[in-house]
Amino acid sequence: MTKTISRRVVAWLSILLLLASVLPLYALSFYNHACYDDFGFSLLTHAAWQNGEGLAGVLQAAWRNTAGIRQTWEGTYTSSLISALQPAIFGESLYWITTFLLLTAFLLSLWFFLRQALGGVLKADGPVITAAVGLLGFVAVQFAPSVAEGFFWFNGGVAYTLMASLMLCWAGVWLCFERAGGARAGWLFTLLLLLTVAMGGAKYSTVLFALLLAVGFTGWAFVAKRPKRWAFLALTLLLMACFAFSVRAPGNAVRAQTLSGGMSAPKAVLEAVYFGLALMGNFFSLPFLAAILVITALALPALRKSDFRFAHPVWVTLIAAALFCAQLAPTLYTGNYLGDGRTVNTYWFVFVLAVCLLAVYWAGFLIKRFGNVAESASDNRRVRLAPVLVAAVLLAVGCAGYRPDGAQSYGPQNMAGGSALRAIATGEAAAYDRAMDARDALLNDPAQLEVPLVPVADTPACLMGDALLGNNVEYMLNLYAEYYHKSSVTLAGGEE
Amino acid sequence: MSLRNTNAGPGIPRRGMRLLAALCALMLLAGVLPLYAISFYNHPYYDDFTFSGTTHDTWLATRSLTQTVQAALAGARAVRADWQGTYTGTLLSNLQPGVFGENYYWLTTFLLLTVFLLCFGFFFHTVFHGLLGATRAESLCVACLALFLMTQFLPAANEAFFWFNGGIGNTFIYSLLALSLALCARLATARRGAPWLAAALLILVTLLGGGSYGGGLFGLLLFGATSVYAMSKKHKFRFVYVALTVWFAACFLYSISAPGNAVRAAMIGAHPSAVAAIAKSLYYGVALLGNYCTLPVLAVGLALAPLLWRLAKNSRFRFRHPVWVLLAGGCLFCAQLTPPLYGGVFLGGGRITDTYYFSFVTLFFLYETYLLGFLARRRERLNKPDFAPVPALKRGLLAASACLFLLGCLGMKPADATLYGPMNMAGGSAALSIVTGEAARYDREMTARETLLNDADQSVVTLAPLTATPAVLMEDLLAPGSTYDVRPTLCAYYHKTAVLVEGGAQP
Repeated sequence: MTKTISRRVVAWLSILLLLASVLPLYALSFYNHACYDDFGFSLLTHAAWQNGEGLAGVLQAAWRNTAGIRQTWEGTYTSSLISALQPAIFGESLYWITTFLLLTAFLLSLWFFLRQALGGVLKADGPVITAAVGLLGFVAVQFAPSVAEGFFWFNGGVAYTLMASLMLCWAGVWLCFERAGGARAGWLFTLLLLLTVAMGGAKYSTVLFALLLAVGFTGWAFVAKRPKRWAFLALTLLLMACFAFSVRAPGNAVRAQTLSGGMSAPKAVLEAVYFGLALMGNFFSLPFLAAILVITALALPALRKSDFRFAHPVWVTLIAAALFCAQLAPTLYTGNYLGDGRTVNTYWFVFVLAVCLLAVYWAGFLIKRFGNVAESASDNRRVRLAPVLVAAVLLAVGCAGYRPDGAQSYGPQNMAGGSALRAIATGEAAAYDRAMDARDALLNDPAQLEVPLVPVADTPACLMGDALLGNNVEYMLNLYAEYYHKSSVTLAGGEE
Repeated sequence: MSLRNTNAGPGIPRRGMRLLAALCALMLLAGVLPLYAISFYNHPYYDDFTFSGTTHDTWLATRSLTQTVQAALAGARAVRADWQGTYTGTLLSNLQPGVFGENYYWLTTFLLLTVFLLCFGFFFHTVFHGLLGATRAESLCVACLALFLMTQFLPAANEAFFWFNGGIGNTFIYSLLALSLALCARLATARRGAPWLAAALLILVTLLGGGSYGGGLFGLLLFGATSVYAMSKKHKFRFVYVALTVWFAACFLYSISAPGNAVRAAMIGAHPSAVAAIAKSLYYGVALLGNYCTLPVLAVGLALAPLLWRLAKNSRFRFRHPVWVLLAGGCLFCAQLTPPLYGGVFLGGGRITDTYYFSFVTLFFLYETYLLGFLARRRERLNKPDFAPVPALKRGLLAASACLFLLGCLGMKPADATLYGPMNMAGGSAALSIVTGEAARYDREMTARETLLNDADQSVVTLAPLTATPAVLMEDLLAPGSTYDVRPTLCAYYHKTAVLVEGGAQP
């Protein structure tokens, strides 16, 4: 008799895995401190709060700040607006909110999107959605190219991780709206309008991806004569208009001048295709394969019952690949190669979701085409134990073999949660926190107008390094001086 | 008892398979040709000089090959006393091609890479054609794909194929191990020529016993397992296998009992206990297995799956214990790591991790065959209908594998590389170095150095750090911040009073 395991057990084990892996990240957030552009984007809001203008004053300052940045740096209004509200303006000790916001928003939006895509569209049941959230959340967070920039830096995280989360929400609501009727459709459309306006002010790589999704979906809606096709068209046009408003900001030209090495549009597109494919090949890992195996195995009953024909796997794969590559075009076009770690994080998130959905699509295709490949199980509440065990072994071996660039050794201590846990257990995080607290105390001391600062060398790998050890020390010192109203901030010992 | 399968069954049409085999061979050729080509720009490096100083002097003084070999033997004895007992590697290192003139150093790659390709190719041919009944074209496909992975995605191509001292003790030894295992398999089915095979194996295990300790232990365990299997099956040559294993163990013991090992260990310093080393080797072995499971490897595994399924299904093996075989294979793999971990050098240099990769790729395909064989037998036991993938599915699988393989090649990015792509693969990197002139510049600058060093009139020479070093060749040890200071070695080898670095830079 074939040994089986309850699909619910698999699902809850996946959620447990996710929880166990993200808890150290939340714990580490209590040792975190504001960094670099956090100060630059929140000069006005910090001053407003310090001047006792209250929350309303802070929001007004954030608005002014966004308008100013549009003139002098970039037009991405949503991320600029939220960046101005970084938690440390209300007190450095509140910076832990950064991770709580970014990570929680990401996981919740992942859940919402998967609920709509797998549950709503595919009619998959709870265990499939739960397992998908647990496993994809685990893989996406633990193996993210830059955890520090993705979840521990407000400015970078808001601009990319939060905007990616917003995009997931927006896509999820879009799918929800497609199936909704009556009054629910009305308020979903209103919500979509708001989300679309917010999406339009996200970073260009994210908006471009969202716009292409919207165009593709709207095109399909017209071909299939879907009843809400005109609403989709309106939303797409609105997104386009918001994107155009963002792109046409005068500040973009100013920013472009500071970056060198931009390229022609056709070359950027070609490079985006090349590097997009390269990133897909590079992103593949054993844990990811294990996650896909489990999710696909759990989704088989839903696929068997599904009305979808899954008739065009090759075209769908090609379109998904093209969409993935499209994200890279803006950074390549502006001469910023693939972007920093926070940008590559978003490519990673999209990759994880896209490949998982593609795997499910391919499984559906194989079932419909070669029905005997996946024999129908007698009990849809259970799944065979052997593939689950194989996936678990692959996951464990893949985690043991994880070694990102620059790591000394192999192992789960290089994963985000493992790294955070180690930083806490070894006292590295506490030492960093103490050193940064001392710096904050100096900077917040109104009696000291000339502040010498000592760079903090040992930073946990999951946190941002001390900007005073980076390339733009002078800029950072000036930023400190301006933010904390000091006459001068220097490096202790006059080092630079 | 004949293990050879005689009922291969239908597969891809013969013409199609031949075309596929030709494509695979072409791909392998395209991957290794740049490696051969760049070898003409290569020059001796670091321990090449350390090991072959005496033989170099003898050759210069006598121009006699016999006396040079005698000097090599004497050199090997000296190394056994004061550095390590790995006599095969030591003896051959004394005879590095640069001894006879630096411009012969290209022989390094021609020897290491050619022997590697031939030995592993012979091994795959023996297993898949000889034991599992694949056609020549099918076994060529498997061999070429596996060899492509091994030569293009290995951790350090420079230490495997472009450094005589590093390659001879590791890559070469593993090549001999593959050859010896193939001969063991041939011996199992031999009707005539068994004595010759046994004699060849005797020579090979003698050489393997004096190879690297990781490779020696790995080989010894493999021979031990073969002997146990032969005894349990009451094979007619079982005592030959046992005798070979005992002789292998004796040679290995001779190697590890060398007085020099203690001297070397004292110089390296702290090392873990034997138990800790075994535990660590299990951990890091599993970690390496996880790390080596990349897209190209899995894509090739996927592409070969229908073929391996058919071969395993039609073979006479029963494939009954997939879990035990997986565990045994994993333990064997991990065992290689114990000697360097015990020696306090973590997983060892790139040349040693290369050998882990070679064994991984080999074990991966062997285990895949076993697993598919198990699944095929299981279907038979459960009286399920024979699973024969339809041609459309096979073609689709092949196309999907090719796409995944290409993606894996595009996504190749070693830790120190800035860009993604096939130019980071060994062959791509070598081709790029040649095309951009980087290799030629390296060659010019190294030749200029050697001209100075070979000038007997100059007792003090000043050498310039290199301005370019191809990634597949060994690094410049005169560059600031180098791992080792090669100057004392150069002084001894070329009989110079002092070797200075231009601009006073310290390596």
